[in-house]
Amino acid sequence: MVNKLRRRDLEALSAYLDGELPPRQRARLEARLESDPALGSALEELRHTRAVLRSALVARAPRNFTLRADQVAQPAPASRLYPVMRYASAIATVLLVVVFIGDVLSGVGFPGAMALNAESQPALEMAVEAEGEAELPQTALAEGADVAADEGMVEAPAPSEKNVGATPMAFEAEPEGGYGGGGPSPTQPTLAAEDATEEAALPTLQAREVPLTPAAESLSEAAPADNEVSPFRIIEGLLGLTALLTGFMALLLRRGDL
Amino acid sequence: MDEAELIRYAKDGDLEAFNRLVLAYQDMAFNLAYRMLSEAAAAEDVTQEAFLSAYRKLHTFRGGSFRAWLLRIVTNASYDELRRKGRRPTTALTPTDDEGEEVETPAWLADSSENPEHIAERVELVEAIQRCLQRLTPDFRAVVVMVDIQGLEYAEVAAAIRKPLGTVKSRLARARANMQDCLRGFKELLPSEFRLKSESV
Repeated sequence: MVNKLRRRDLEALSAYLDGELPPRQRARLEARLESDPALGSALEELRHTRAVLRSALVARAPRNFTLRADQVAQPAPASRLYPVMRYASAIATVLLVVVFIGDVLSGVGFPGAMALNAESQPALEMAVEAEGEAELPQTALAEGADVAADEGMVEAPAPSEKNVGATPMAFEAEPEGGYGGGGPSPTQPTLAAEDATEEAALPTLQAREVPLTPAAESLSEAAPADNEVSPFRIIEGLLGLTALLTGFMALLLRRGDL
Repeated sequence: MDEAELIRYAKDGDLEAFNRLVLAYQDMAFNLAYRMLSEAAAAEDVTQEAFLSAYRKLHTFRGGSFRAWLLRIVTNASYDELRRKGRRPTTALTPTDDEGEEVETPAWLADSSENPEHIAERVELVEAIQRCLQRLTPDFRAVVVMVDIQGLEYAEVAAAIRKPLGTVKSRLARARANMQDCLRGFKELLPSEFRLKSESV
């Protein structure tokens, strides 16, 4: 019966039961109830339903819900430094990544790339100059060897006459090891003056030897760079340290240890 | 000490004063939570959480009906729990003890002044009502519980659910109509004195 009622009538009947209907609407509804038995029946059903609901026992609390002091104690407010440290750590990490990427892309402070440049450049020069130059002064050879030896690039045993002109590889090792003391080899002028065959062979050997000068120079430039600390490295180190320290501080602050 | 004084002291941090308010309203709060959730254990948790929340938010109480203000907190906590339950398997409506066994007559429903037969009838009635309440949407359920079971005025309910009076009237009327239909399906469970006239003929 109730379901067949219009929603407005249903709401009016429900409110009428609870005495929540305004006087004017109540009077109008009471007039309709006298003339409409179906509406009166619906009211009775609704009244009965309400009685059933009101007869339901109110569930009593199974225990007391009183609060203890430790329950209401507010947790210590998080330190204001926590967000500062957290964001500082994040920013430092991002900057570290950016700087590292810039470092790699630029090749500065990247030892592998520098070594590669130092090796490839003299190799090209060696090939070109071996064809074009017939002879170079012995001093050039000696100087080149000096530089290389001074930089400690090679540690070969002292050469012998037999080694000179035997193989290019053996000759290349000669000035480095033989002139390792820094001065000109005492045997080299003798070899050039006394032995014609060996003298004829010398230009070739010298031609092979000449490129050592720029190579040694290149290496002599590269070697100090390895010893110097790149600015990228310093920045990366500082950023990494900052990220670690601030992150650790944030962790401690969050745990309430600080 | 009247309620207004207790509230004033409680606002100043007097836990003892607040606990006296808790004792005055804990049955009502638990009952609402239980009707909303149909689960005694969950209703206990919600009630405890609601009182704790009420204590912490007491400074926001600006006067008016403290009961309505408290019931709003309980209702919101019940809604939160219902949302959580929506992501969990449903539980049986019948109360269970600590070992999961069904409890025919929960301690909080038993009334020592009633005879066993009457208690059984009461329990059946309560179960029937509870099952029908569960078929209502939480919004309708809250209104019908507050008005018909808790006996609140419309204005208090409107304050508790923060809705206009017209919404309360509308929801209550429709909830009652739905409850009437539902209770017809449980007519065997209902004691004869509670059966609807149209069904008992």
